[in-house]
Amino acid sequence: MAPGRPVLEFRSVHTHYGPVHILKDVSLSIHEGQIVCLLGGNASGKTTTLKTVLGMVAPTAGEVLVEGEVVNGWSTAQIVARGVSMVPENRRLFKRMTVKENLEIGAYLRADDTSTDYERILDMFPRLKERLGQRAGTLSGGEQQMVAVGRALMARPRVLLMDEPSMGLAPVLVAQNFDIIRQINEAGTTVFVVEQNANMALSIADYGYVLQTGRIVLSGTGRDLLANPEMQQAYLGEVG
Amino acid sequence: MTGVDLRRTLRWGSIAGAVMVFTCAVGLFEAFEDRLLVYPFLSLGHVLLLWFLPLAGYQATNEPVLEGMEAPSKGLHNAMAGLGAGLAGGILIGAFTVIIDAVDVRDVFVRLSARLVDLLTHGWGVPGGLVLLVAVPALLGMAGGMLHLVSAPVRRRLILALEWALVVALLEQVFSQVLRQLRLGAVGNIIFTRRALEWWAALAVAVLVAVLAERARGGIGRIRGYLFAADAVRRTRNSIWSALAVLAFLIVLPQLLGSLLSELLANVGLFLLMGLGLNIVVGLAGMLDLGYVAFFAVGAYTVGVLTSPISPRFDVEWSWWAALPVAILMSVIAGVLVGTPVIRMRGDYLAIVTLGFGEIVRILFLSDWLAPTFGGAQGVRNVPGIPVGVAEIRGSQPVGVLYFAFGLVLVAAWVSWALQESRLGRAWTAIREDETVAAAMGINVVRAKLNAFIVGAILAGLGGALFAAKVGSIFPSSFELLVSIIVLVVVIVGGMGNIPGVAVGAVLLIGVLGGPTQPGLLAEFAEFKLLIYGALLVFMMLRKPEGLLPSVRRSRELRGDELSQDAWLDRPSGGAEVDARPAGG
Repeated sequence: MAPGRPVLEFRSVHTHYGPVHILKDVSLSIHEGQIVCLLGGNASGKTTTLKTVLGMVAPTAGEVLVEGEVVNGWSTAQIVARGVSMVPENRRLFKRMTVKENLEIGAYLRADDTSTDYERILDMFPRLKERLGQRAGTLSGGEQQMVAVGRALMARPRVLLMDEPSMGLAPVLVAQNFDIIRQINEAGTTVFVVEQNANMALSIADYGYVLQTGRIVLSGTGRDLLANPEMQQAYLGEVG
Repeated sequence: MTGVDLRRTLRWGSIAGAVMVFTCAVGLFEAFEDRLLVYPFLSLGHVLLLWFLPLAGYQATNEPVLEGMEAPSKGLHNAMAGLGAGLAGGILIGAFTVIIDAVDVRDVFVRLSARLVDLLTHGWGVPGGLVLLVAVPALLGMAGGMLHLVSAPVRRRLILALEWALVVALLEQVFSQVLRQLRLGAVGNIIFTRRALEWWAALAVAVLVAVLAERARGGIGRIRGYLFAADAVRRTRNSIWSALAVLAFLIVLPQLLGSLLSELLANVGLFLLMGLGLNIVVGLAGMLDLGYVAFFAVGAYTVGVLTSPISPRFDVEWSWWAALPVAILMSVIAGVLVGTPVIRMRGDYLAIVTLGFGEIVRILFLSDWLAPTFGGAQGVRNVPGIPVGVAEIRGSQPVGVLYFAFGLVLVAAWVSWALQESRLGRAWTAIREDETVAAAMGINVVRAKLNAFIVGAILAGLGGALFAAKVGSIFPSSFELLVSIIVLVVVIVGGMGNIPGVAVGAVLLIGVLGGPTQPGLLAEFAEFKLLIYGALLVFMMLRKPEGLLPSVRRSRELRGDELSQDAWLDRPSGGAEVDARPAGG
């Protein structure tokens, strides 16, 4: 796929938690229509990267751009309104609210009519139709993932952030999950996936970055990275 | 003996003994020993001392019968186990009496006096009276055990009849007042003697209740079916009708009650107003605020200093209506000032910091520094009433205050309801569930929480404004921490997050037991009010943490979940997860 213009961009971003230096000179760009994945082990800075995008962690140096606009210092609400939405790690639904209410919260910042989005999401996940009035906490893991994705899509995002979509799911559901990612991408949403499951993520990604202790150590197209022996080594070195 | 579980019997017996010893030690028995409930033999003190024994006797053989288990046979062993439990309890209280008779512990336990021994032994002294002290509990325990021998509906009627006879006797004041208002004062004079119910009247009440019990049960069932109709449209219509019925009832009620009871209900209204406000903060937005009294104080003081002719600093002498917007504005400002620094905290930290702020506000009003404006410990006096047309609403006419408080409560309830159903209400729910994710969905968490704080502050300020006009003088001592705690208990006992629940909590706690300084129906218990509050709170936390009246919507959802979770049983076999695979793609 020919890359469009960048929807999300990091330019030499550094972040700190107090004195601890987390992200070190991270530069990456996600172009319109792409699936981009960010790989890395525990404590490599993956989640911090997502929090930085959403303005929950302020970069100490460098720039974060959404649709070509510098969003440093913006509030989370402003950034979400600009077209960034997230599917959090472990889905984290509002468990005591119904599926419908969860979807409504996803469209919290939208003032326009959301009925076509409902239809689109229910077409994508027909299983949810019969579950709309049910409390989200009682759904199965796979169904919860659908709600989490649906909730994020209700905001009609320009770019969808996914934090570890394979976490805590059975292998058959992981495969299904990546099918969902591919499907929403084909429907026109740019996706930025953060993952530990390198093989799975790279098999669907247009482009990948490998993060190691806060630094981008490798990048390339999904196919290149899969074939790259250094990638395997770096990744395994990180985990082991 | 077959069927008597000795350990269980002894356990319940010793619990009953402990209840009796506790009742004596805190002074409940002695305090109410001479308050007759049923003339001429039953006193409130004896009821408080002995009420647990039949229950313990019943529990001694009350095994849960699970599905598939054989129902245990009934017979002599039930009565014997009850007798055993009662005997164990009796021996405990007997031993306790012997000890306090022999050893003087009054330095530590002031209530354990020679008089208590005298009362417990019926004036017969230690060796002689002990027989009675052991025999009466034993017999009551046996009576409790024998309840197993009658069928369940009969048992229910017996218990209900007993309860009602006691309630009528206990609420003698209310019943004779209502009878007087209905021009039936003569009836009241006949059935009540020296504040106690005549024994034959008690019997009549019991028989009447036993006869009517089943009919009443049917009636309640029909009302419940009417209110919670399965069809949503009918449910809405029915609840509108029942709301109108309740409203009509509330309009007629003060005419029936007379001024004393109207005063009680006006206090209920005042605390309900604050309860609704705190319900928004705690129940909807999930922030545990223990300094809620601060906003109540701000509202009261603002109205006080602006309307009182002897206000220490201002001599504007505004009317209540002119001062009200200022009071609300000041509450909002106080809400923002307190809210902004604390809102980023969560859970326990928020509770502790708000607690501190509540005290700071009270101490500021008490301080010499602000005394030129707020009068320090002297407070603000001569606060005029609320002018309505030609009349003036003030504390000396509780019926007027009651109507006015009802009006404010209706407004507050409507505001609460509208907010709950609004976009902001949904944001609050989301924040309560998962603050981080709510923020990631674009909800401005800080602003949403601050809004909850401000709405809560406004309702408390409104309560304060009403309070100022009602009592006519304001002192810092009216704004103790206890007020915050009691409003919180009202919300918790009633059912957090549910408007009718808060109303039930306010009626039960403020109306029946009384507020921090306001008397309730059971004014006699004033000395033991905090003890009862505490016991009630512990009981609620253990047994019904969702409150007496949890929100219908939630319980509906819970039941719906159970049904849909069982739905897979009916589903044809063959991997449910495979179906989940999205079509196309």
